[in-house]
Amino acid sequence: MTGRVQVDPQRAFQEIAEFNRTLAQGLSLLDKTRDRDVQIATTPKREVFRQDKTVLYHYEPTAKRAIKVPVLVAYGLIGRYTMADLQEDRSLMRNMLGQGVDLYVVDWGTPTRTDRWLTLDDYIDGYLHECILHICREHKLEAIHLLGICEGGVFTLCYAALHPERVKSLTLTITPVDFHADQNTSAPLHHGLINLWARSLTPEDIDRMIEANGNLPGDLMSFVFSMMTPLSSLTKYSVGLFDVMGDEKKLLNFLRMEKWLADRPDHPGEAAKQWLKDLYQDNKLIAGELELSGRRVDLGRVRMPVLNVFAQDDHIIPPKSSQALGHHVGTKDYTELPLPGGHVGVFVSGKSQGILGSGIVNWLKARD
Amino acid sequence: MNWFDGPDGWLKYWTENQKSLFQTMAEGKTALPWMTSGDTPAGSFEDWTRQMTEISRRSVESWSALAKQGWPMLSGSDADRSSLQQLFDPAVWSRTGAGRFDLALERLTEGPTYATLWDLDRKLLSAQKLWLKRSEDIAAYQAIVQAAWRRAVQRFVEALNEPKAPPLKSGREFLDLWIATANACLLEMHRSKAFLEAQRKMTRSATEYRLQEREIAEAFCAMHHIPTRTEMDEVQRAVYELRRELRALQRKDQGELAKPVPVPRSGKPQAAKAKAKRKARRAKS
Repeated sequence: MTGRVQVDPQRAFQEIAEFNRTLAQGLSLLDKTRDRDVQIATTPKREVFRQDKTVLYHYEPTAKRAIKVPVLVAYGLIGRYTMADLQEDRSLMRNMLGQGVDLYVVDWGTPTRTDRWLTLDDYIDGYLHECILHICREHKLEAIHLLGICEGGVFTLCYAALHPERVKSLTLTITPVDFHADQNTSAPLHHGLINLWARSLTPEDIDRMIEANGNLPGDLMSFVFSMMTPLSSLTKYSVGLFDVMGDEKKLLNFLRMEKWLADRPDHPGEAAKQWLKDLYQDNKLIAGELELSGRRVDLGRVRMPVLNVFAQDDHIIPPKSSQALGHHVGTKDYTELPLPGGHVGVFVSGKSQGILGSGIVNWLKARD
Repeated sequence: MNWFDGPDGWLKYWTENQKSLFQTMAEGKTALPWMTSGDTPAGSFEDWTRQMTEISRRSVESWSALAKQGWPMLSGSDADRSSLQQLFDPAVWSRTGAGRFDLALERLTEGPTYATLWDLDRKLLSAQKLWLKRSEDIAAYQAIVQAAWRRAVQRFVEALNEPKAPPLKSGREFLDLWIATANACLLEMHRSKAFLEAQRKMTRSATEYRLQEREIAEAFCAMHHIPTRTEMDEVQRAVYELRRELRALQRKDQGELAKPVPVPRSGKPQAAKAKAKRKARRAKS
């Protein structure tokens, strides 16, 4: 059929034998793997505050405190904070605790249809604000360090603009700021596809979708993410699984990631409308037109120190989208920390682990 | 012969390849070390063919067992037949568009059906029209997806026949080339205006159909004194607004607590106050 396929029969049989061996090994590993072996977010923590479904956790310290002011980590509503604590040797949380950070995390819970009316105002100016007040009261502080991840980065950024007196410093990781920065770039094909998808919908499409489903289904967002890496999504449970099944460590990493991916909650409907229409479609954040709780979010009011961490090969949040922050914040103490890898890789790859944790902690130490 | 004419072209391709391989060996053009090694008994071509068939059968069985045991949610689906076959069989793509990849979207586009409520003529007619529109939009979407898969196959064949490209020396290299080629084609499709518009229309018409279906369901609920989705949404909205008001009142009530608590950095402020008080007392006296 073709001259290019030059499979040596001997090698073909070796491949078949290897295939069978790996398969047998994998089956045996999967057979003995139990749910308890695939635990994520295991860093010890305790609940210290709760409002509706939002829970504030305080992590148990593991080292002598090196940073006086506590750090609150906020993830977004697309996915869950457990990504930053996926496994013991790849956990931003453990990494920071080990370097003497007093650490809190906010968990938004699992929204259901009853939460469809919740807006970004409620999450940012309500729940996040209450968590921050709680920490301030507990530590008798005026302000704390905030660390936002992805959509949570937008939450903390908006919060810092609305309540700058409560934010000692702001660290943003893989955070979209300019939602139209994906246009007119020479980035790879899969970069910024989510921006393109969001703009392909009309505002009415979004309203009707939320009306029909109540919330923005987590499954739909998973589908949109899959569109960015179509074949690896399609072959995940065949080729992808096969590639790791012969190695217990790799297999468990794969399963932990699967566990995190499977736990994608629905995004509360009204908040999703704001997220898709006001931000992805109308790009109101950098235009200074976003309003929360009747107040304009003015990024010029973000005058505290800002650290902006982004992934150089982030296909979900194009680096340019994050880097736009530097042009809009009011602070003179603005630092960028580019990291190798992709969106999730920043948190879970062995390569970026050391750089991310130490980079943030060293930056905080200089501003504590 | 064009291997990709028919839906089972891939399978034919593999079968033919296997046949050629067996033929080559039967004619003594190649010798496999394991056939003559101490581990595996040497034998006639028939013995060898039997062994190969057995190995293949065991591979397929193991694969199915893996799919069932490792991924119980796939049990009963096509996965227990052969995940490998799905990877290479365009017939499977034809049935499901982009295959398992589309399940999430399918779940979104499909809703509950209420076939027993066809007496609600007006609502039914509207639902039927919307169903037709939805079906048309799904077909249009699938046509675009199928075209991308066809392009992928075409490009793959071209890549296989590229004289200057490095040879593919293993099954894995062959598979990797197919994955890279198909991935690029699908990404191009996902970014195309035609695909995005088709997907938008399909999602919208599925949404409209689902909302119309809700109307039918709500008519049934109303007849049988059951609260409707719309009513539940209204109640939840009222609860949400009350909660919000309550939080605002609590925050107002606890205003002092909400204010930053000043941190005494040293004893000076208190000392200064005490000094001022003493001074005031002395002045009075």
